[in-house]
Amino acid sequence: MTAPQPQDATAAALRDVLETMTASRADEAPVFAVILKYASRLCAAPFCGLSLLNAAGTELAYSASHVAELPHSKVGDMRWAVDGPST
Amino acid sequence: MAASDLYRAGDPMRRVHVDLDGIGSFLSVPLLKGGDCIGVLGLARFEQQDFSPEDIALVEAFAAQAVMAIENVRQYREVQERLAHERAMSKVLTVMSQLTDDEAPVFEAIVRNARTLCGAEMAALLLGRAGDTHMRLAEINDALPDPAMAEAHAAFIAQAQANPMVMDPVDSVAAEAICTPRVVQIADLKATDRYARGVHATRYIVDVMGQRSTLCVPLLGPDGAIGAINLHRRTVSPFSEIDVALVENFAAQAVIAIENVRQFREIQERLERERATSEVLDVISRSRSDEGPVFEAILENARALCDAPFAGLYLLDADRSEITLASSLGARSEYLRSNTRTWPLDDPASVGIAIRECRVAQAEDIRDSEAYRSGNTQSVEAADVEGVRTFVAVPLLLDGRAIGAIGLYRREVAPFRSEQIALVQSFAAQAVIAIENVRQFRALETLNTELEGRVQTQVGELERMGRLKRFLPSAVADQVVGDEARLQSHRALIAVLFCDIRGFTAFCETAEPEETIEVLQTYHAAMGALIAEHGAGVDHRMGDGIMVLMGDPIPSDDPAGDAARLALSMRARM
Repeated sequence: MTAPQPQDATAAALRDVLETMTASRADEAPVFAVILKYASRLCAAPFCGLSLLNAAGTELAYSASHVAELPHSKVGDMRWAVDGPST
Repeated sequence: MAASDLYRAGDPMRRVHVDLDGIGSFLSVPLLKGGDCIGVLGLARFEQQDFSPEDIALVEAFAAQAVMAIENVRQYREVQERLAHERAMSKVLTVMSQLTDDEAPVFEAIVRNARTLCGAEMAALLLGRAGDTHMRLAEINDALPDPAMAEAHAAFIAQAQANPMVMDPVDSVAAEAICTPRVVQIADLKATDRYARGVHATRYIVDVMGQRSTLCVPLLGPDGAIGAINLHRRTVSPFSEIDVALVENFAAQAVIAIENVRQFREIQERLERERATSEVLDVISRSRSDEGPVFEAILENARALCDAPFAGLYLLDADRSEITLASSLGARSEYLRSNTRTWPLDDPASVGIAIRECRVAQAEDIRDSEAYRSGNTQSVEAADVEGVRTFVAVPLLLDGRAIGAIGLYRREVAPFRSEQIALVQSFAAQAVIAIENVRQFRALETLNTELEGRVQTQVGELERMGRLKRFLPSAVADQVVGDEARLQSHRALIAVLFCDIRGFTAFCETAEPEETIEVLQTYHAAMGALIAEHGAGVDHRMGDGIMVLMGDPIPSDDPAGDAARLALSMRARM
């Protein structure tokens, strides 16, 4: 268990994400980067990644990561079937 | 993670995460959009330490923000895309409004914009209808990165333009879109039956050009599809609904452009026909005595408006047995020299048929006609010397009978369209008017000449009569003018009457000269009237003496009796 996050740090993070969203209308990537940065920092998780489902809804693709790029799980390389067993 | 069932079961990815990446704990939070999961936010720790409920709540809040960001960007891109579409549409509309007699620039703008906006590498516009045998490649646009490929593609396009593509909905995607008619979407051309069967165009597009996803949208006119817009992508990425809607819009614009150009050309053609008709009418009104200039004006206009190198006017003779080429334009001189310009009415070629049967006779290819195959000299010479292929003959009709025909031909097999034939029919009617005008004019001229002769004879008679009446009683003058042989010397039974006034010499001696003249004038007027009344011939007068011949030149059965009756009348009158 990690210590509860100070409310002001959480609020500041959510506000920063919203500001980034406003500034980056045409591209999700900067927003994802900010989300992952805060998630990683505030949850004390060195690795934080985001995977998106493809248009057909059949496959997850690992599309953004933060902090510790895992040596064997790289953005762009990893994709797996939704009905498969792995997380 | 290492304690999980999956790890123990030997799941390869889980093994990678634990054994190679060294992950201890993992948290996955779904990205939920309207109840659907669209992705996952995952956090990992190298040590084994569970995530707290606060951590989870926070990550859930971040997941919601990530969904919001994705949705924001999607909407933003959609708006941008729609703006780009609208800009492209307005560009096409601008091109459409500028040009009315040529579809090509509109096609170019449509195909280029459709390709760019849909992120396709190759795009084409093909024209053709469901019943056609072939399609025509009207426009093509591509963005091929490889110059060698572009060169190969240019060769392919040249071949497609030279050899029209067959309208085969089984082999061709465009033909399928036209014939069904509906949008055809193919996610991967390489996975199709067409590719498996080795259809040449499909193989070419996949293997040589490297294209995979295909979209084909029909150009829908009021009576079915009139063509299609075809798009290809280099990757297997199906076209979206937005892409389809966009290309459908472009297709609708292409249909409008085609219709605009058709209407513009129709108006131009109608104006051209009206100009030609009025020109011919003008020539008719100026050329009352000769059909020649009218025929020339008709043939010149018929030739130009019907895209025919030759136009001829044939006339049937008065006996209705022989057809003669009366006037022609555009024939090769060796053909005109080598042919007699006369045919019997029962000639089997189109002109003979048109005149005999009073109808339009079109031979789409005279080499296919019975007359040519049977070795009819006229047909063989026309085909082999003059190069005639399609021939149309339109009869000149007067009171339900043909008096000739107008003939047009082309040196390729290209049948004349119904509106062109209708135009030639109106020229034929004008030719008949011209012929009739000239015939009436000539008849009138002949009549005038005859009348002139008759009037001159009559004027001559009147003049002679006038002269004779000065010397002869009018009955005698009439006889003489009618039968001048009476003036020649001849024998006749006549009576001669002599008359004078008794004691006239003594009266003259005492009377004044004026009185004498007055008496003589009164006397001669009264006697002259009596002489004329009795149908007497020549009289001779000297002073008061009168000599009258009875029985010549006006014949009489009883000249002596007539003379006696005249004498008695004279005495009674005195």
